[in-house]
Amino acid sequence: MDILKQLAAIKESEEIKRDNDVVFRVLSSLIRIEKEAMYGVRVSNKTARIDKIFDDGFDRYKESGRASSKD
Amino acid sequence: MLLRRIKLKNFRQYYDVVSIEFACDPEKNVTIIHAENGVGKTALLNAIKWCFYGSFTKNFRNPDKLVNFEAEKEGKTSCSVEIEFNNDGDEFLIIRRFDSLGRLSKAVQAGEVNVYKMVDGTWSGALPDPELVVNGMLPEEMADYFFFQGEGSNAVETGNRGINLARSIRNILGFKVAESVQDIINKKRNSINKRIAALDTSGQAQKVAEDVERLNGKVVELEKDIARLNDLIPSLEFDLEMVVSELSKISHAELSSLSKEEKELEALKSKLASQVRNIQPKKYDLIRRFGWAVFGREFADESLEFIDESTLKGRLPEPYNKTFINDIIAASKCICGSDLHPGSSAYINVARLLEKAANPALQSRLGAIRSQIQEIKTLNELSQGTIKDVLNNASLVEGQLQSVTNKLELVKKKIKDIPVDMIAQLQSKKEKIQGDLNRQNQMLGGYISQHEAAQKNYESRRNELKRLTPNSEVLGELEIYIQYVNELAETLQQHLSKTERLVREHIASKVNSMMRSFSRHSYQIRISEKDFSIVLVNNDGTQVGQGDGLNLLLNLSITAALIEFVRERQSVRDPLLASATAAPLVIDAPFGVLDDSYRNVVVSNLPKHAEQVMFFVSSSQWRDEMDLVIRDRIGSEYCLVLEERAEQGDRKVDIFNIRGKEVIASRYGCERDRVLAKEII
Repeated sequence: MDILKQLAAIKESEEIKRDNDVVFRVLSSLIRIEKEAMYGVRVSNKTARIDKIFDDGFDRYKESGRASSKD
Repeated sequence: MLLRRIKLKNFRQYYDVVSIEFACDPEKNVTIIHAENGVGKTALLNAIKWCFYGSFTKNFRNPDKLVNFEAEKEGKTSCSVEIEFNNDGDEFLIIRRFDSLGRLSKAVQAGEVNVYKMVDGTWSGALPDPELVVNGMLPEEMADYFFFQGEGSNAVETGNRGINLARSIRNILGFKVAESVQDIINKKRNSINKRIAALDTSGQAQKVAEDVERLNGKVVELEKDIARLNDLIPSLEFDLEMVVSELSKISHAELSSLSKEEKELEALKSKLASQVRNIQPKKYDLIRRFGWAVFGREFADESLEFIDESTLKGRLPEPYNKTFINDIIAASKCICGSDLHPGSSAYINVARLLEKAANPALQSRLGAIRSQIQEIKTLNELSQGTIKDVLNNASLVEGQLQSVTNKLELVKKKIKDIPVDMIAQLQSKKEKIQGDLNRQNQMLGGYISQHEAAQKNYESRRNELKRLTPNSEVLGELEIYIQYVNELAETLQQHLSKTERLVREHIASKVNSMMRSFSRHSYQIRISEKDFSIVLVNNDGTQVGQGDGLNLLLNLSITAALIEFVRERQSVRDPLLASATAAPLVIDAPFGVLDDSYRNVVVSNLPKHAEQVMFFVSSSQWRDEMDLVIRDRIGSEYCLVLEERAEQGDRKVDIFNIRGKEVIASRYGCERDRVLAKEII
C-alpha cells in the first residue's frame, strides 16, 4: 500500500482511537501537559493534574472492560 | 515556522540597525538577497543560525569578533540579532545578545537568548527555557538542512552522514515530549508498586518493592544508555570512515604508490649498478687485450713505412742479394758470360753492387717485423667490433642508471613532501576511534544482556511482590492499575516505533522522487538502518562517488523531502506526537557547485516544496533565466550595499542589474565602513 495512504489510514484510526480509546486519551492528555511545559507556559499543579489524568483514566479503563480482558 | 523579519544590531559588518522583511505570502514565498562576495551573505545566514542556536556554520570566519568594529570604535561592546517568527499560528520574538564585556552564558559566544510569545497583541515576558522552546520547534540537528551553506559546508563536503538524521527525525516528530511522558509513566508505576508493598504488614514486600523500583530504574537507565550508544556508534563509524578516507587519499594514492615506485626504482638502480660494475672488468680486459694494438696501429704503420724506406730504398731487388754478387766476383764471370778481371771497370762495377745488394738476414728480420706489424693491424681491426659492442653496452647501461637515479631522487623528494606527521596523526586518530568503537560496541552488547537480565529479574521480583502481599480487594485494584500503566507505556512505545518506521519509509521514497526531479541520472538511495544516513547508489547497488554537486543535490533533495513531509505531517493530528514544524529554507550561495541546468530545476522546485525560501546570491550565481522561472514567487528582494570610508581609487563599482533596474552595490568615500540592506521595489 502507498505510504501516504498508510499514514492517512493511521491518522484516521488514531483519530478514532483518540476519541474512544481510554489509553490514547490518557496519553494525549499527558503529552499535552508536557508540551505546555516545554513551550514555556507555566503549568500550575502539574503533579496533581497528572495524577488526576491517571486516576480519571483508570476509572474509564475499568469501565471499558479492558482490565478484565487482560486477566 | 515562518520568519517575518530580522533585525541586526551592530552584528559583524552591519553597523547600527539593519532590518530585512522576509516574504511570508504562501504564493510569493521567496526572498532574494543579492550581494557580492565578502559583503555579508554568510554573515546574514549566520546571524539567523546564531540567533536561534548560538552557533555558526563551519566556514564562518572569526566567530569571536561579533561586534561591529565601527560600533566598537564608538565604545559599544554589544551586538544583537532579533527575529520575529510565526510557529504553528503563534507569533514569537527571539533576541540573542552578545556583550564582549559580559559573561552572559556558559559559552560566551552564544551570548544570552530570550524568546517572547505574542499574547493579546503584546509580547509576553521571556519564556523560561528558550533553548528548549527553539529546539522543540526546530531541533538544532536539523539546522544544517534548513540554514544551508551551498558552498564548502560540512553538509556538502560529507553529504548527510555528518548529521544524525534518525535523531533529527525523532526530534522533529516530538519524541522528546513523548519520552518525558514515558518517564512520568515509569514514576507512576513505581508509586503503585510502593502502595502494593505497603499492604504487606510483614515488611518483606517493602524491601521487594524497593528492589522492583531499583530494577525498574536500572532497566530505564539501560534503555537510555542503549539508545545513546545506538546514536553514538554510527557517528563513531562515520568518523572512522572519514579518517580512513583521508588516510587513503594521502597514504594509498600517494605514499603507497610513491613508496612502491621508490622500491621498484631502488631495485632497478641496484641491478643497473651491478651491470655497470660487471662491465668495468670487460673494459679492462679490452685494454689488456687490444690496448697495445689500438695504440700501436699508427706507430706500426709509420714504423713499416720507415723500415721500408730506410732499409729497402735503392736496394737491388731479389735475387740480387750479397751472396749472389759475391759468387759472381769469386767466379770472375758475369751472368752474361763475359770475364771479370779484378781491377777492370766491369769488375769494379759488379763489386760496387754489393753496396746495394739485398741482405738475406736483414730481409729475414724485416719479414719478422712486418709480420708482427701486420698482426698489430689485424688485431686492431678485430678489436673495433668488440670494443664498440662493449662500450655501447656500457654507455647504454650507464645512461639507464643515471636516468633511474634521477627518477629516484624525484620520488624521494615527493615522499619527503608528503605530510608524514599528518599521516601519523590520522593513523593514531584512526586507531583511537577504532578502539572507541570496539569499546562502545562491547559496552552496547553488555548493556543489552544486562538489560535482559534486569528485565527478567524485575519480572521475577514483581511476581514475588504479588505473592507477598495479601490477596485483598485493594491489592486487586492496584494490580489492575499496574496493568493499566503498563498498557499506557506499551501503547506509547509501539506508537513511537511504528510512526518512526513509516516516516523513514516515507522520507526515503520522497528523497528518491526528489532526486529523480533534480538529477539527470537514475540513481537510487540506500539508507542505513542505524542512523538513517543516506547514500546514492547505482542501479547495481554500488555506491556513487559523490562530488560536491551530487552531495549538494542529495542534501537539497533530503531537505526538500523533509520540508514536504513536515508540511504533510502538519495535517496529521497525532495526539501523541508533535505536529512537526516546517522551517524556512535559507540557502547561502545555493548554486555554486551546480551546473546551469540543475540551477534552474532547483530554483524553480524548492519554493514549491518549502513554505518559505531565502536565496542569498551573488551576481555570478544569479542568471536572468533563473529570475524568470521564479519571478512570480518572489515576495521580497534586497541588495546588500557595501559602504566604505576609503576612496574608490582603481576599484570598480559593483552594480546589480535587477530586472532592468541598476542598483549600486558598492560606495566609496562614505562616513564609515558598513553594510546596508536596500530593498528592491
